[in-house]
Amino acid sequence: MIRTKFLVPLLLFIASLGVLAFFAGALMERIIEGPISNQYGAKIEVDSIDVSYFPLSVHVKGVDVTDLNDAMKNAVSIETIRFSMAFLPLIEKKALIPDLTVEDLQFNTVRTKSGAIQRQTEALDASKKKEPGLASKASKKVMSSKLAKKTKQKVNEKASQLKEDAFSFQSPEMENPVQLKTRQEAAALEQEIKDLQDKWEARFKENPAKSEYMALKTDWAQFKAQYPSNIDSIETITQQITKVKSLQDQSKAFVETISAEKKGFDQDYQHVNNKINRLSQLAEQDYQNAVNQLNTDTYSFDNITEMYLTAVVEQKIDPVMTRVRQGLSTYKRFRGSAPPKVNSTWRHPGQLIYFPKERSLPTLWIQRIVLSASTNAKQSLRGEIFNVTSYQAAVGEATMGSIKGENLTGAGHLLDLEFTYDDGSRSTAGFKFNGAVSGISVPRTTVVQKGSETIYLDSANLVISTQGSYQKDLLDVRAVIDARRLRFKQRGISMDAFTLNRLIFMSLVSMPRLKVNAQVTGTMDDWDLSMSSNLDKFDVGGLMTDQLAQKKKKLREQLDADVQKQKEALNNIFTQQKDQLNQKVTGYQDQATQLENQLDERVQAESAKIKAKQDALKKEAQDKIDAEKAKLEAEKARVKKEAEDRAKKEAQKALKSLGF
Amino acid sequence: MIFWVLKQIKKLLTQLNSTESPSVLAMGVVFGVLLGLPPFHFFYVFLVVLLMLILKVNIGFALISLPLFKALGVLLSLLAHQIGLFVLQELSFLKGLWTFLFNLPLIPYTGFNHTVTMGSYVLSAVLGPIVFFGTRRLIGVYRRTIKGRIERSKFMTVLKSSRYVGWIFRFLAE
Repeated sequence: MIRTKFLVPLLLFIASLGVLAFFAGALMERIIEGPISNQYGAKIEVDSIDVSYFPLSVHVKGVDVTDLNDAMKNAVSIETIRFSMAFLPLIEKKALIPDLTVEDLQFNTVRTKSGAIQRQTEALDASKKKEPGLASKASKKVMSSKLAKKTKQKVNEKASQLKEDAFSFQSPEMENPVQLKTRQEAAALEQEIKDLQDKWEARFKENPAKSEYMALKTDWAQFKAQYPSNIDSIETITQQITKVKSLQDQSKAFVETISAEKKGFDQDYQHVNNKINRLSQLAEQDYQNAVNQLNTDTYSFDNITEMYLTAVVEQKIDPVMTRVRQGLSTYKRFRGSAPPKVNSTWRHPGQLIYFPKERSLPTLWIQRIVLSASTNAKQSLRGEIFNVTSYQAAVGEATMGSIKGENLTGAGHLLDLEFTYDDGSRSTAGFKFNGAVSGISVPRTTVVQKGSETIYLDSANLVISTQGSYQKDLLDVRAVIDARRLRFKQRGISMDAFTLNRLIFMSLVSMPRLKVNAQVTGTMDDWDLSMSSNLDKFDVGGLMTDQLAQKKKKLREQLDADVQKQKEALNNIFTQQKDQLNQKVTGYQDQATQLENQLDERVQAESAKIKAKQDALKKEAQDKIDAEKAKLEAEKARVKKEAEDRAKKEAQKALKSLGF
Repeated sequence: MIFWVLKQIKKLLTQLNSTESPSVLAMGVVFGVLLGLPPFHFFYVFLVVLLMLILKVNIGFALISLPLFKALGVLLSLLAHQIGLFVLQELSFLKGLWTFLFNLPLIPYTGFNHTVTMGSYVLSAVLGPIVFFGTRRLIGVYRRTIKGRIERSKFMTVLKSSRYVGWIFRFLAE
């Protein structure tokens, strides 16, 4: 019933597997030094790999990974890697590593032989062929380089700084510069005057009522040309007067137009003039601002630590945060979040029934890592990490570790760090750590740098204790920086003058120990730093009032002189421009007035003519009346005489008849 | 591919007509059932194939019957699901066994905790003996009666005398 001819190859197959297992170490060595090295691009050398199967354990000795950028250096060099592995979980594609020891891990060690491989240079040649020209590559690189961007940014910053500097004012007695509103306003006014000049120059380039003026002139010339040679009647004169009056109306309209322009021009310049006069009001504000910056007789600072140390501490924290972010993203990639693959099938999909498991293993579980590492710069690290796993809930224990380091953060520094990481399966979810760095001697550090005044820390011994957590994306790190053996020195501070920097210096010098509490809270991308220390609260009194009054007086004089200078400069430009433009507009006004005067004269002349004519006509009529009157009187006398003569005759006749 | 199929058919016919034990041939068909009915699970298939190679079983018959039972497996998957659900969930006295097997290192790789797979295993176990005895009987009947009739039929006489058929058979034999 058994196929005997199959048994022989089966046994042979099993035997060959045994042989393969026996040479597994040598085979792995070949694979690492051959295809894997080629894939990496530089030599990876392994002294030996020993694999034993009962229990399954691997012992790797002398691993040297060549630096890709420098073939005469090792990027990583490890003396020993030793790990044991549970066999049965491997069948379930799970790696349970009870013990992983990495001994003497070193970075950037020097190689005795070059670690370059042929493939690397070939690849380099191939990439060179594909690459664009050197010049375009270089220019592209330069343009996109950090330096170029930084230079561009610096130029912009410098330009805005220059602008700001022009408006800023600081006397030696002042703490900080103030931005002078008068200078800002003066600059704005200068521009306004220029704009005004442009505006009115454009308008006064020629007569603003040129067309009206030309029309009036033509009409006037026409009137004079068409004036009749013989004026003998009042009607004719009246007609001429009507024409002249119409011209006079035109002239008045023209004068009004010019006057309106002149009014606008005057108003504009008056407006600017008012602004120039208001500079004095702004000067008062500037003075008040500047006075606030004067060293007063009482100082009270709530948080001098934040003022002076925040920027320094932030610079130290930033790179750490970047590293932590990188670590977190690597961990997230390692854990993975993709849903399981579902194969499509024609069959009914069915249902998986799960039964209770005694212990479900995660895909990877390194129960203990013993690590020791060192560098050429005498940096060393030694520690143990427990329960590094891809799924902590299956392990039921948090990842924890304790690491001790020497010279890691700086020469002579001793690091002592303990941490736990809980992936969220328990109430203590999150990352927590507790660490201390001691033996930090601070190099010469500038604390205050203002003008020629400098306060620097010459020597100190620091211990930084840190305690923190990172839970649900929220960061809370508290650090205490305990500085002893503080030695502050100063340069440029006048020790007999009462200034803020002197006060700071005196306070710092009198302080034997500085204890700074720093707290970083927020998220990894948006964190906030707050700091406090025993330097925070200090009040000083005693600056003499008259000293301050003198300073104020001096400041007032300086600012008044500054404003006066601004005003004079503005008035010079203003008056010069206004006079020039005024001359032009006055010229246009003169033209109008001249023409108007001519027309007035003409009207008067025409009116005189009419009067003369009227007088002549009146006299002629009177003479006629007088002649008629005399004629009538003569007739009357003649008639009377005739009547008298007749009466006389009749009386004589009657008397004769009567016989006298 | 066509030649391979023709070759297998020729081989099958040769073995059917040979003196090989009907039980060996029937066992081949049973392995076809074991491989075809359940869904693919590497560990299970590996074990069955190993057993098939070790035991004296007609591999040709197993391979020929495999697609047939694969198709049958697809058709019976709903039934298999219901049987699997019943076996895994309803039969409470077996739960201890399933839990034990579930905690063993390799057994979960047979996919026994999947309802369709478990149902198919049960169906294979039920159909296996039926297929074995049924096939053995059919082969006996074939050899005793049908084989002789076919050989004596006019069609076979003509076929055998044909020169082209001879060529094809010689070609397939190579």
